Amino acid sequence: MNKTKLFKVVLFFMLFFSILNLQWILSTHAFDAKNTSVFDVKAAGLNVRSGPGTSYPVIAQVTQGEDIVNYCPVAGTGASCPPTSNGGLEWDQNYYPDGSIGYYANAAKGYMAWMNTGGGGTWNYNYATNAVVKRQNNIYNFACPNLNSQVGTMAPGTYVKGDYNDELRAAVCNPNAWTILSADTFISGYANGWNMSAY
Amino acid sequence: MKKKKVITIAAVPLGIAILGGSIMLSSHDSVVSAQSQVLSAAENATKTNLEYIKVTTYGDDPSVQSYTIRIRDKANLTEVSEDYVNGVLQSKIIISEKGSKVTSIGRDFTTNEMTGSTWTLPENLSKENERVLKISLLEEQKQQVTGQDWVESKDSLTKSGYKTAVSELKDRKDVVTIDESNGMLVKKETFIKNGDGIWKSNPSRVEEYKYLDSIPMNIMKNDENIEIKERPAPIIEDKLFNG
Repeated sequence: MNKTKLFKVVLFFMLFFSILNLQWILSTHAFDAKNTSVFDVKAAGLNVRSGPGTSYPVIAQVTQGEDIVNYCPVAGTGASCPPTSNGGLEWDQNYYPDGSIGYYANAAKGYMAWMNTGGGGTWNYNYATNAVVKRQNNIYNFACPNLNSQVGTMAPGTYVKGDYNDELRAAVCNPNAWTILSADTFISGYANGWNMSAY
Repeated sequence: MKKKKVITIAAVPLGIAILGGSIMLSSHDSVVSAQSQVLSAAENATKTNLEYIKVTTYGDDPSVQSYTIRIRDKANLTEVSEDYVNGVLQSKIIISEKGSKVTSIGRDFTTNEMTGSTWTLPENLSKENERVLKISLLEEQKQQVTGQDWVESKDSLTKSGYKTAVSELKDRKDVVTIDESNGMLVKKETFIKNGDGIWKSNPSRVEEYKYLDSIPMNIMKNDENIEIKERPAPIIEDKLFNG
């Protein structure tokens, strides 16, 4: 085998494995999972209720600056999780991360009034596009069932932007896994939303 | 003779008109209003003390079925709601002690195990819950059906003991089922149109209503021996905020 032929064979394998690797990255990297919206609470105080309306009991409250994630169990399986209109308000089922309740979406969720549909209404919470890292945080390739396959780190104070059409999104199979792009390293992937503050 | 001739001549077009009218009527489905039965059934549904609603939703994937069961006891001021996906319990919220106690149980999406917390709400929020737990879960359904026009469905003839009525709106069609033995609303199915503007044959949402004598034991049972931790209420302030 002459040198040119050997070079061509090596080049072919390099190209082949590069394509394979790229395909693997594209198929498994961030955004492989279905995703859902991350919201930033705008209201000074907002009730969390057991159902979509003011005729359901209050179970908790959230406040301005807190982050919540649109979440209902069925969404994780691919079905839609549309808002419910009731009493002139749009209601979403959301996950409200709470350290005391636990790191478990299904134990900390309830219905929150998104906006007044009566026209010119105020937003109680709205889509988040950016976030700032509060505690040392890592970037991962995979979101589910847990964040894994680390690809980078982020120090407190690092700014990140949503890496899904500029919107900050979370994986429906793990609402704590947010799809981000680090403003420092330009590495994208999933990062733990608990360690960030969205806005 | 002349009079008889006139009557004979007049009878011909009259006969044709009657015949034509009959044919026209028989070629159309007769529309019978079911307005009063539906409104009465919705009104009756709000009058019982122990209410049960099961809401099943169907997404794009027909193999996935998710449903929520909600039971409200208006006499004892308690409420239990459960979310299921394909028959597996995902979460449960129990409001007890006249609305002051909240127990929230959920399946950890990473370990698939159940975990739970319980907390006591402060006075003003407990009072709000005491107020809302006296409201019928079916009040919303009553308001909805009251604003719609209902006609008897053809299916009414095929379901013995039950009457069905249909209300067609621009973007959805609701079909309600009434138990004729007690005049209560037992089901509401909602249909939406497909891309071609034709009503889909399967409902996108089904609500089933039951009127119970007591809360089913299994719904209050801690099947999986879930550890439920007492914790402070996740409350900002003891007052009602937005929503």
